[in-house]
Amino acid sequence: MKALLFALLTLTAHGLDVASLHPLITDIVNQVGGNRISIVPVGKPGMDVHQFQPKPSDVRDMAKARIIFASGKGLEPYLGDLKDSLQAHQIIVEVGRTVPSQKVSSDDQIYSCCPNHALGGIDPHWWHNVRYMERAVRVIEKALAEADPAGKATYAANSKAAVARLLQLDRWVKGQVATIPKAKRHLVSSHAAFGYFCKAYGFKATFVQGLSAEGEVSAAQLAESIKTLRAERIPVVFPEVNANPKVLGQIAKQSGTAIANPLIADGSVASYQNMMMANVKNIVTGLRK
Amino acid sequence: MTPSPLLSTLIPLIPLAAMAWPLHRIIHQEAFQQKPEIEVKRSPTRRADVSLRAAHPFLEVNVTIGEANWSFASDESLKEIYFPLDDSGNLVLAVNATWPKGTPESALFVEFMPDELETRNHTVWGLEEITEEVEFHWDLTP
Repeated sequence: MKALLFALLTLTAHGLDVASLHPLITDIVNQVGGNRISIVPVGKPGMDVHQFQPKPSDVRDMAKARIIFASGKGLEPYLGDLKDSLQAHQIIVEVGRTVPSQKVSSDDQIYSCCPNHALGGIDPHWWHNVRYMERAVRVIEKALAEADPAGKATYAANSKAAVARLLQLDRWVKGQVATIPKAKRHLVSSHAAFGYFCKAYGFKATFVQGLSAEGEVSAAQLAESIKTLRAERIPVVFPEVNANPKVLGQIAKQSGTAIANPLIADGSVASYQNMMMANVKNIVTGLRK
Repeated sequence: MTPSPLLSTLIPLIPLAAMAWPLHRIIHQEAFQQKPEIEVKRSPTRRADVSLRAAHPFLEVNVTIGEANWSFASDESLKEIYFPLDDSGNLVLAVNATWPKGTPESALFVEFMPDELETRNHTVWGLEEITEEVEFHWDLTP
């Protein structure tokens, strides 16, 4: 009864209160929720998604949120602790939960990462496949409609529009990729954040620093990366925004590869569409040379 | 006239005689034996989104898996379904689509998006009405 009363109060005041732990998810939740929701963006653009931990003030900010949207797939290892601190009316929705998990395989990657992201671990960067973001839209729509049944039609219409935009974006990505000769579709980047992108759009992937963006690489791992780049005659490597560029610079210098414009790997930006477009433009420019 | 002593002795015994056979059945019935349970192996149920994209407006589309059927009205393009998928990872579904009379040969793109499994799709081509059986497979080995 208390929870129901709380729900009614929060709904009538300024829409459904929700929170988001990742900036890309904030963007998509806003697209689906429209003006029926009021969102607390706990994960802000520029955040380090691998290192982020909600502070007590974040937990306080989320206190009114009925739904806390997370990316899922292990990106937020603190979710268990966060769940323990929630009130009865609050739930956490991992929007990537319906996405098929992609494991870090030994076929196409070089591992020199942290122990948490070792071979066989689940790659949490599912959003680089645009069609997977479509699944996330549906998870968000369902969660919002369950919390606010009166808004079901609005959420469905917004979700349909968001999916249409994503389908258009997916077609655009495929069109851009088609301009790169097939033999050149080999993406070498810092950390293993582009596995989903490479699988979806037909690239061979090499990640010289594994999954973590921290950039701590041993001398042996560094030598292994340089050897691979030379052996495969990789012409260009892609640094990442928010990642230490020193190691990749060193690898590029010693292997004789060029450095392309940086890619946005962890989605720590305000607009999903802009991120995908910027990444694809940089990949096309780098590999078409 | 009074009945003979033999008849007057036998008359009260008639109801008892009538109950003899049922009583015999009850007293001598075989001990109840529980038949061994037949183990019904149910396939795990999964959730999926089924979406349709049609080149021309359709009248109705039906997606059938086993005995379960999901009907899409002309204004529907997405449904959430629950379906069984056994360890083989094989799924057979029938897609029936009807278009208004006069519609040229048309395509219907069916997308099947099960939770945590890759999307599978199939394009059904038909003129006015078509039923097509579609087989999807997923590798479920961990």
